[in-house]
Parts: sequence; C-alpha cells; structure tokens
Amino acid sequence: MKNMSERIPISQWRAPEGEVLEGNVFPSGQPPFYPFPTVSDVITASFCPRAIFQRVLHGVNTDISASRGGGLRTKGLGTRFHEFIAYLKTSIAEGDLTPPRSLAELMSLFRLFVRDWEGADNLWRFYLQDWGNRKFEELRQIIPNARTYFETTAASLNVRFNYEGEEYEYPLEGIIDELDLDGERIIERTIRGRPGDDRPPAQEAYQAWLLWKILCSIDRNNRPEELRNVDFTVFNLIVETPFENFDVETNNPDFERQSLDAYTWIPDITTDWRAEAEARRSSACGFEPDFSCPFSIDCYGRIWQYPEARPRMRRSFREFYRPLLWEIMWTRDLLEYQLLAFPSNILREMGILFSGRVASISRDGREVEIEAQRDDASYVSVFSRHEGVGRYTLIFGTPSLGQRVEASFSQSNEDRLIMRIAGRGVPISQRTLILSGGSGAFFESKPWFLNRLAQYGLFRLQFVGRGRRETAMADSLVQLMESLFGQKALRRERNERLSRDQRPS
Amino acid sequence: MSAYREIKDRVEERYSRFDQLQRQAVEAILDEWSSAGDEVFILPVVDGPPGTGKTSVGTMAVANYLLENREGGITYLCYTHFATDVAQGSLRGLGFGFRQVARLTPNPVERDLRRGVIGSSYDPWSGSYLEGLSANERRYLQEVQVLLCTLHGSGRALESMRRKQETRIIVDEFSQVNPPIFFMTLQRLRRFNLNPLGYALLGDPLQLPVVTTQPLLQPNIADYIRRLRPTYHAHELEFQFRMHNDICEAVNSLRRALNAGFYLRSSDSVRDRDLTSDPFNFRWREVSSGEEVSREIFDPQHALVIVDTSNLGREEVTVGGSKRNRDEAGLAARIAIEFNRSFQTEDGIHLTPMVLTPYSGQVREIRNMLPPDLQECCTTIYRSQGREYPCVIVSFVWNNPAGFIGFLEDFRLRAQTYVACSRAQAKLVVLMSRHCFIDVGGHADFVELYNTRTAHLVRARA
Repeated sequence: MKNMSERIPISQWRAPEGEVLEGNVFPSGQPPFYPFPTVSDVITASFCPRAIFQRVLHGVNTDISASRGGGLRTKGLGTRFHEFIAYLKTSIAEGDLTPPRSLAELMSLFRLFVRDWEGADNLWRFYLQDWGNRKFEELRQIIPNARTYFETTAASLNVRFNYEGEEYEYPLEGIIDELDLDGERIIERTIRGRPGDDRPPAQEAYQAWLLWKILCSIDRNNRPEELRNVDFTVFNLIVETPFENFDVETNNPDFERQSLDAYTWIPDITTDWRAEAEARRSSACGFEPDFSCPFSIDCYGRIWQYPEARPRMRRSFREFYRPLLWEIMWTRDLLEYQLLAFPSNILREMGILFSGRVASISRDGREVEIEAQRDDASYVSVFSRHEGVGRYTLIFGTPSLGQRVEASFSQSNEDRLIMRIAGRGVPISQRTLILSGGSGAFFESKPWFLNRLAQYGLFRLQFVGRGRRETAMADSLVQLMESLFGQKALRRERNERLSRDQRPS
Repeated sequence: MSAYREIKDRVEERYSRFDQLQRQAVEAILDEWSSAGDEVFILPVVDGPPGTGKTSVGTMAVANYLLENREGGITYLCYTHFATDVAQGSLRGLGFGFRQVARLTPNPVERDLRRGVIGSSYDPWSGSYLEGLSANERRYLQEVQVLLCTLHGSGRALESMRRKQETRIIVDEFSQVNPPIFFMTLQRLRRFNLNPLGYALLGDPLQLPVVTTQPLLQPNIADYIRRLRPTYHAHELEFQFRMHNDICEAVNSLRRALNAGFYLRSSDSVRDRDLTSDPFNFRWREVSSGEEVSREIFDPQHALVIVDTSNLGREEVTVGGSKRNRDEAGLAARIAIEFNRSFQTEDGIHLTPMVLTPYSGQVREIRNMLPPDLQECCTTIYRSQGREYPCVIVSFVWNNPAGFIGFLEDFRLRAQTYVACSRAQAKLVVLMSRHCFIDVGGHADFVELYNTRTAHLVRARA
C-alpha cells in the first residue's frame, strides 16, 4: 500500500445505544453511530482508502477480487464457480447425484446447472476443468449427510483484534463460502490465482482470516444449538483456487494491523467531509491511474467537455451522497446492530423479528413453508397483500451464525406462510440449512440497496457527456443538464402563454 | 368502424372534456425538448393537486402520441406499481390493448401478454433487466410502443426501448421522486444509449415525499428544479373532478397551510356530489345509529364531519415504535361498520368506507376491531396516496395534554393530513383531538382543517 499515512486505531467503536438501539428514537439526519461493516468493506478499505470511499459514498459495488490482473471480465464467474461447487457437493451428500468420475461427466452436470449462461464456456475452460481434475477423489469421499454448510452468515458485535499488546473490538459481518464442521475448516473459494502459485491470493487469504475472526468471537449462546460446542479456534482456513488449495495462518500480525487501519477509514468517510481528500491522498495507486485496478474506471473516468455546467452539477450532487449513506445506516446497519444486541423474544416484542418453524421445503428448494404464530402470520399476510411489504429475510440458525435467505411472501393459510426464495444460486434443503430443531426466524427486508443504486446512478451521471459541441447540442440528456445547472433556459412549453390572470374563470 | 377509428373517437371525446389548462399541459408533454430552439430546453412540469386528473393528462398525451405515431415509444414511469397499474388501466379504458401498452414488473412469475404485463428479474452477471424472458417476449417488448414501470425498475423499460429510434420519458407521481432517484433514471438512459425526444413530470409537489430519514432527501424533483430555476413556472391544474365542494374547501385550507401557490376549484360535475347522488347512488337506511355514534356523522348532507376525540383515551406506543389509540380505533371501527350497514344501493351493494391513519400500529388495531369482510378497508395514509374512495374516515391517533403530535408536525410529513382528506369523494369523517391538535398545539394545518367553514363538528362521547 502506497502513501498510507499512519492511522490511529479507533479505541471504541461507536455502536447505537439506549433509545436509538431500542428503536425509540425517530430516525433522522446523521445517525449517532458508526456503520456496521461487512468483510467486503474492511477488505476494500484495507486495499485502498479511495476505493472504500467510492464504495461507501458513491455506491460503487466493485468486487476488488473480480477482475484484477487483467483476467476475464465476464461478470459473475467467481460466484457461479462457487455456486456450482456448492450445488455439486450438496447434491452428492444428499444422494441426489453420484460423484462425477470424469471431466465429461462433470461438464454435463455443469451445463445442466448453468444452462445458457453466457460465461459458461469461459468458466469451464479456464477454471472448472482444472478444479475438477484435482477434486474427483475429494468428491468421492463426501459422506452422506456431511455437516457442510454453504453461504453461512457470521456476524458479531465484538470481533477482537490484537496489535502491539492492545486489544480492540469492532463489529463485523460476512458470508462464509463453505463451513465444513466435520473437516473443521472454512473454505474461501475464488477463481483468482494461477497454476503453480505458491501462495494464496492476498485478498482471499485476508477474507478467510476475517471470517474466522468473526466465528471465534461469537458467544456460544448466540450460536445455533448444534454449533454451540464447536471450537472454531482450531479450524483450518483454506483458500481454494481452481488450481490449488492454500492454508492460511491464523496467527497473523499483519492482518491484525491491516484491519485496524481499515476500520479507521469507515467512520471517517461516513462522518467527515475532509476524509475525501485524505482518502485520495492515500489511494493505493498514488496519483497515477492503475488501470488494472477494478476501481480505476470510477476513480479516473473520462471527463467530457460537455455539459459545460458539470462543475455545478457535481457540487449539487455531492449534497446527496452522504444522506443516502445515512439512510442506509438507519435501515440496514441499525437493524444489524439490533439483531445482534437483543435476544429473539425482545426482537419480536420490538416488532423486528418474527419467529417460526420450518414446516417444509419444496423439492426444488424454491419455496419454504413456515409455521408462525397466528398473529404474526396474519400480520405478514395482511401487510404483504395490502401495504406492499412483501420481502423478507429468512434466518436459519441465529442472526449471529446461520444462513440468511431472501424470500418474498407468496401465500398464507392460517398460521402457515409460504415464502418464495429469491435470487439464491446455492440450493436450499432441510439438510443444507442450519435448523436448530426446525426453528427459523424472519424479518422484513428493507430495500436499502436502492439507496446504493441511487448513489451510483448520481455518481455515474457526473461522467456523462459529449466531447464535441455538435453532438452535445443534439444530446437531450446533456442539454437537460445544461438547462438545470447551466446557462440554457428552462421552459415548461414552447410558448409560455396564459399567465394566471388570463386563465378561465 | 375500425378499432383505430373507435379509439380515435373515444380519445377525441375525452379530450373535448378537458379544460384549457389540461389541454395546454397535454400539448406541452408532446412538445420536443428542443422545439423552441437551441437556447431553450422544454421540460413540462405539471402540478396537479388531488382530483385534477394529472394521470388523465399524462395518459391523454400518450394516447395522442399513439394515434399519430406508429413508431417510437413512450416510457411512462411512476414511483409505485399501483400508479403504473392505474395508468395502464386508463389507457386500456381508451381502447389501447396489449399491442400498444405493456406494464413491466419485477416479479418474473407475472407474465400475461394478453393483459400486457411482463415480469422479469435483473441478472447482475449479464447486467440485463430482462432476465428469463423468451425471445417472443423480448420481441414483444421491442415492438410495443408504451412501456410502464416504476422508476426503480426503469432499467426494464429502457433496455426494451433501446432499439427504438425515438422515445419520450414521462414521470408520474413526482412528489415521491427525489433528485437522486430522478438522476439515477437519467443515468440509465445513457447506459442504454437512449436520447429521448422529450421529458415530462406530473405530480403534486405538496403530496407526501418518499419515506426517508433524511431531510435533504425529502424535497421532490420539482422542488429541486424550482430551487435551481426560481423563475420556472409549472403547468397548474386548478379544477378538481373528485370531491364534494365542502371537502374541497377543507383541502384548500390545508393547501393554504402548506403554502400552496394556488387553490382548487370544483368542477360542476362534483360540486354537490354526496353518497346518495351519482355515481354512487347509495340509500341511507338508519339501521342502528347506536347510542355511541352520533347520527349526524352519517348524514349524507354533511360531506365533511370533524369528530373531536378529546374526551377519549390517549395514544400508546406499540411494538416496533408505531402508535395506536385504542379508543379512537374503536370509534373509527364503529363508524366504518355503521357506514357499511346503513348505506346500500338499490342492488343491495353496501358502501365500503375506507379508514386511513398515519400509523401502521393504528391500522392493525382498527383491523382487529373490524369484521373479516371489512378488515381490508383500513390502511396507512401513505398507502392511500394516488387512490380515491367515496367515503373516508381518518384517525389521527394523538391525544395528549402536551399537544405533541410526532412526525405530523414535520413540515413535509404533515402533508399526511392533506393527502388523507383529499382521498374522499363524497364523505369525509375526521377523528382528531381538538385539545391536542388545536387548543394546545395550534398546529397550522389542523387549525385550518378545524376552522373550515363548511365542516360539521361533532364531539365524541367518552
């Protein structure tokens, strides 16, 4: 990391307290707490302060590990790589598939899984066949009903970091690609790396380490019943690339220091206007664009000559970025603090969390039937049908450790609610979920991500333009900007006639 | 007569009933952005208070466009799915079918070409908003001329429009469209290489803004334009076609409190509209006026009734931090039940009143007190925006000695009162504690509402 000035670690993370945490304060303006960081936030902040600025304030949702190093640019390769492996392992453990014995068999399973997805050829050719060649034996050794969970969310208010004899506690949330209880390991899967590498890609090693840190800090009482006695401190951390498996050292002072630095940027950017300049000065690439960086297009986008009113437009847009972020903090982040701070009975009293029991899961893994308290079921049903509140997050396990699945209300029958699973590539079934005696919980999903989309839309609009006057004059978007922010006149119609006193009586 | 001819006649007949201000707005929407020359940009903003037919103006512009253009398209964007549904219904009412008009939703299960409804999901990997659509469905979307969808889902419409030579953008319900949402939509235009021929905004700037914790995000795009361009004048629709004149008086009182620039005038067709007149034609049968609920509340001659609930119990906090007032909820439920029982048409159809309240806690309370067949007749004021009902009962919940009324005091959110009252067509019953809202609090809009000279005042018994 270049130009990184010495950062002073935050001695105490500002979490919501008292009435704010209890939801008894009317949320407005700047939240009196820091954001609840995700593992991706911390990794991005650690990678480059300017990148976390782009992520937090401008809604740039770039995955720093997605396309670095001039690799293939098809979106979603890494995610599909992981989803297919999760599907394969799950199906084998459930007895739905027999382990493939050849690349041809593996390929036909892969084709069935991705269907006509455009990135399928690249994923197979450059990554999956290498992975398959190494893994036939491992797949054969999968035992029925293996205790392996995919896409497990781990979250804690007090993840402990140690550096130079001092201890710091910060909140953190992340998703573990594969949690293998029988093998006592967590696996972070990636398509980064090359054949013959002798060390894991740095971001993924750091990611696996952060996720392990969360696991180790979750109080036993906050874990699902079947995971209460698991000792995560002895778990191995594995980064799995298509070409190699790497062990990650858990005792890692560099990561400790790196994390403390990363955490300092997040509150600064959230609360202080001056942090923007500081983040720029500390950017990983210095002042010269590094076009291999996935953030470069957002940090060094081309500025066209037209609209000429761009400076005023940018000034005007700037006033919206932070309120959009604060809106996200009042919705997503406060909820996360609440989920982890209170037991489920209090969360229910607060109207935040509904509890239930998973009655059944459809064969295709797309629908979950939940038996809820009759009052809750009626509330969800009525509000989903009439108030447009139809999206929920289902929690299997606990808010601290479990799978969180997005679902939409489909139908209800007395105390039974049918929820339809949305946008999840990794299939669910009774066995792949962490179900403590069949119990589950769910909460209303607030569409906080729309604010992030608005941030990004505003930010990208700043770069829109034309280089030549003739094309700019014919471009309605550019001319609209000139009329709102520049010299061009703005009218409601061709001939503004009929002033108020001329109107019909 | 050809279908085209029939539609044309219907559109012309409907257009002939438009007043001059509405016609002027329609023409402006059909103007091109550059039609006044290089130095001027045409951006019609139509300020249409409740019942003035702003959506009719929007859909009439669309209809005229469709009758004159066989190519090109219009992207009609609203903040809510309900509003897109209303706009589609309005165009269908003029005779346009699924080959001309389609509505896009984010629900991939929802696909009915004959109804002109297509749901698709966003695929983050390919960046397409039309994931999962068949070639036939994609072709359909490329050929249909008018696409309706929400602003947040605008990518679906814009992606479908990208093969068209020309398109226009109409944004309805702009009170809920703040600048970031508007500009995000504009950015998507560039993403799909669209260069629209025209842009238009329709809405009522005084109605409720988008729900947000941030004061800076509350002003809508029209407020923002007015801030950037103080000399800009919107099209102002002054004639309302929804409410009895007494209710319109109350709405004007509230507009005064919200510093509106102009006031509504009632068209002759609705001036004296009550529950017993056209188009409702209910008969009032006093089946059980009951000792608790005053008879005069139901008298159709009193279009606006304000019931002072100062004598009833206080508000409480519910789980989740919402508010409820059990006594007022009980009274609202009893009034709703009585309306339902005592008003029915010759055909035996009972009146379905609508109970509106600012708080979801109170919605739940009232629903629990209503019989099953009426439980859906209670909703939040936010949810009611864009809708109209023959009979509306409003419960404002607060009743305390300090005159504290929570967010109803907030300059922007107090438009709740304005929105709630302006949903009523023929009968409006407002339940509010005079002591809390006026004697102690003196909150401007409630004072204006209470002092509306056409209001009939009733005191609730404890």
